[in-house]
Amino acid sequence: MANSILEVKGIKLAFGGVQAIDDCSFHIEEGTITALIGPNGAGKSTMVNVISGTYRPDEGHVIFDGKDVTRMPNYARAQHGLLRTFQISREFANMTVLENLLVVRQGQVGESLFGALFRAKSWQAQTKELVAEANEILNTFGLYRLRNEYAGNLSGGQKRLVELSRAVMAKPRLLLLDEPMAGVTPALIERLGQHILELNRELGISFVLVEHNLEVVEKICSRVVVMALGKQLADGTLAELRSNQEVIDAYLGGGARERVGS
Amino acid sequence: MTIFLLNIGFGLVTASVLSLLSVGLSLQFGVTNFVNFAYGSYLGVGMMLAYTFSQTLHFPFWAAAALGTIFTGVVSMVIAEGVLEPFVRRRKSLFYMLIVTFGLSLVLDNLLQIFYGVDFFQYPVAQSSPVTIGPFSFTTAQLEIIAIAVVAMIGVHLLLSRTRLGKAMRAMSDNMDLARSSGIDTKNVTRWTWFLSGCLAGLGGIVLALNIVSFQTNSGETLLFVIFAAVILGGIGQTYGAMLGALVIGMVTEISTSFISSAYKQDIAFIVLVLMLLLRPQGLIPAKGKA
Amino acid sequence: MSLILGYVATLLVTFFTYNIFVIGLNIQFGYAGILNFTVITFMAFGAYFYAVFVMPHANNASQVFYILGLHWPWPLAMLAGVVASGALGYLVGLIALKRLRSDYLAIVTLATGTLVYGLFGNNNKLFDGWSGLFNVNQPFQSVATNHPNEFSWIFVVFSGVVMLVVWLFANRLYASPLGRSMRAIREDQDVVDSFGRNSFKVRMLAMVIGSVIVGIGGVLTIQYIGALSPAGWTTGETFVVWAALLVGGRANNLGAIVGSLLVAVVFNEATRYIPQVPSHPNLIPNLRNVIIGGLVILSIWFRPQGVLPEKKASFLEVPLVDKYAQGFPGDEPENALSPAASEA
Repeated sequence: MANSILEVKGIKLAFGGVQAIDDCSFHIEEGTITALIGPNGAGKSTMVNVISGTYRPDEGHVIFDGKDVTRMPNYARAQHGLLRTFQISREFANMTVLENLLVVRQGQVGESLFGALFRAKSWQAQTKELVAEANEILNTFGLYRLRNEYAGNLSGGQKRLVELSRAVMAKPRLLLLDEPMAGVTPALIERLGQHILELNRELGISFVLVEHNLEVVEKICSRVVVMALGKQLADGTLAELRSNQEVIDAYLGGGARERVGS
Repeated sequence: MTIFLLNIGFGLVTASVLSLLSVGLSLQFGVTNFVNFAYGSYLGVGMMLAYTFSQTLHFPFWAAAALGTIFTGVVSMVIAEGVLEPFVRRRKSLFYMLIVTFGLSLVLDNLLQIFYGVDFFQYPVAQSSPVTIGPFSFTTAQLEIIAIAVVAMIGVHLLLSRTRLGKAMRAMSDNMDLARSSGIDTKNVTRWTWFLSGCLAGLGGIVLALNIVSFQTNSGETLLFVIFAAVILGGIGQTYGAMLGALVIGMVTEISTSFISSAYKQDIAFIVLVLMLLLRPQGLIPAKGKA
Repeated sequence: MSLILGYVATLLVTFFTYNIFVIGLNIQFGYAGILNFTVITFMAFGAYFYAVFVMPHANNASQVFYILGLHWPWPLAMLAGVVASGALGYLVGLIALKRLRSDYLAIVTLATGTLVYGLFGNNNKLFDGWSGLFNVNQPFQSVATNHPNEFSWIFVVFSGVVMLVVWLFANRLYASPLGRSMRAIREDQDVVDSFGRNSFKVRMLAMVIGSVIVGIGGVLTIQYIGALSPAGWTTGETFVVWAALLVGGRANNLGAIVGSLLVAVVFNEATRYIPQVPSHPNLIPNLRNVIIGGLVILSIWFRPQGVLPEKKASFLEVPLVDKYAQGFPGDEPENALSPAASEA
């Protein structure tokens, strides 16, 4: 069995009397693409926020790469390679696509005030390298042509691709994608799915996808974690889960099936 | 001890003035979701209009005060329709909305000074000798201020809980999209919210002027952040929270004068504001989706 | 002739100091999206602290009171004033730069302004209250002895050099990765955090740097005039800086220069020559403020990006030689990865 890169243990979180997550535990193996599915209100997005450090759980632990990060602020987790994207595209609108990518690379010389002022040669050289690297990434995502456009001027689908290429630029070890396919055309869903598979294979990035589209899940995810009512209900491959009565009742069965597919 | 109790009495008066002002700001904030930095100027509009109605046009003072209140509401509504809402419709970001209202405050303050100058004014109300009630001592004007505030707060409560307009305002404050999709005429409700917010600002300005007796066009201006303090204390956009915030700030600032110079009253309000922002920025009664 | 020369010198010093104020605010608002509604307080802080460090011990017989009076040499006192302004920026930032809505920061700056104004004005012992400080030691007095204009022109050069340094600093900051982080925070703070940057720290840096720069402008102001009273630092002054930045173009330091030329020099000077109305001595300043406020609102309506908008970043790059140098995937034919979509 591969190492687990992420482990959540006994997470509990309540908002004003509503128990959004109620004793939820699961783990993610390194190098896998795992789907996090469940009916609306199951606590999936809340869980993403807990893992990424936006919310602090009332109880429980988040362990990333063997380290307990429960008390770590979100930016510190990101520095360890635990990154996320958001449900809606949140590009830096008044910056170019290329700049969107340049911002997120950590460890640049010119990030400190001293470096910015007195080591200009050094960060200029570094920026040049990063531009080349960013262009490569943009090229694989079909965004090279648009690199000098303001990100705010792109179409919705293009913004989705910017989000993903920006995340790649940040060199994540585990990437949490919160509904990356929401509001995206079928053609682009294919494309995004391909990209995720390639990134997983070639760069070894582990993924956790919150996803409603089971077709996508089936195609790219090797493992599925099902959440319902703030709990982990089951995990396994989608095929295994199809025969799990509990999962069918909670999510896969009935009318939900058609709705999910559409 | 007597001074302490006396200050509690004054705290009640200050809280009354503040309650009108903070509820007015809070209602508007809840519905429009941006702070109006020109709110302090509306106080000046109210107190000066009431002065003009009573002194120049010779209305009885209560009528002048009522007219001043309503006209400030109208001014607020006209400014919202003519200046602010067009910016909202253009989807200007929060930054720009705040700068616009900030710019508006400069325009209004200076317009008031052009019309009224920098002189001190007084309302034509007789200064009665203080009335002693238990350990407290009030002027008639102060008793009237408390009464006005109590009546106004009951009025706001009834508006919010009993009328369609009030329920719509609460719905918009809770969730704008939901309110819009459930068929609320948000444009109209917003318009009436600005009117109401302006009325409360005007009335608040008038009772403030009554309380401090001698006033200038910009007497309300420095109170702006004290009002903010009360609003933030209560939980931004929370009407009942704003009432509570006004009570706390009013009491704390007045009681503090038992121990330190009254020149530092505002500093006390500032300290409360800072503590609140550091410890509980969501306010005593947090609102969903705000802060 | 000498009168005109003196006047031109004053105009130039005004121009340079306003440039510095606008660049300071630009780093806060234009770069990092921080709403500072009391620019003037930071300017006053710099000026007052310069004064009490450079002036000799207060002579109580003259009924002028102020703290410190250390009689430091002016470059050191200048440093002290700038540090004081930066420290105030840090304190305000500590309260309001936590993850709060931008309204809160604006409120805290406004409250700080009101408070400092009252504190300095009402307290005779701090900085001589409402009458303010005068006879503040000016630099270059030992060199400029022949003619009043000599000091003015030396100061033109001095303030010009300071402005140039500030300008170069601001531009380098803008182009640097740190500046890029600041602008990204202006666009979306949460996202910057989620990519591993401590956005609080970066915003704090922008807040303090901006305050320091505004403080430098404040020190220059009191060095040139030799006096400053709280009557001179009203909300109107803050607006002049805001109007200059918004008219000129936020996040563009060249715009800041154009803005301060148009608003702080041309507009302010032009209105100075409108004759006073004897019955309304305040009419002209009031009208000026109305126009400045109106200008702020109108520029946001008609040209929020300013006369000179923020420049698009461009990078020296080797073109990508790649047969895949392609367009947006929507353009290309769908290559069906899967059969029908209604299977799940």
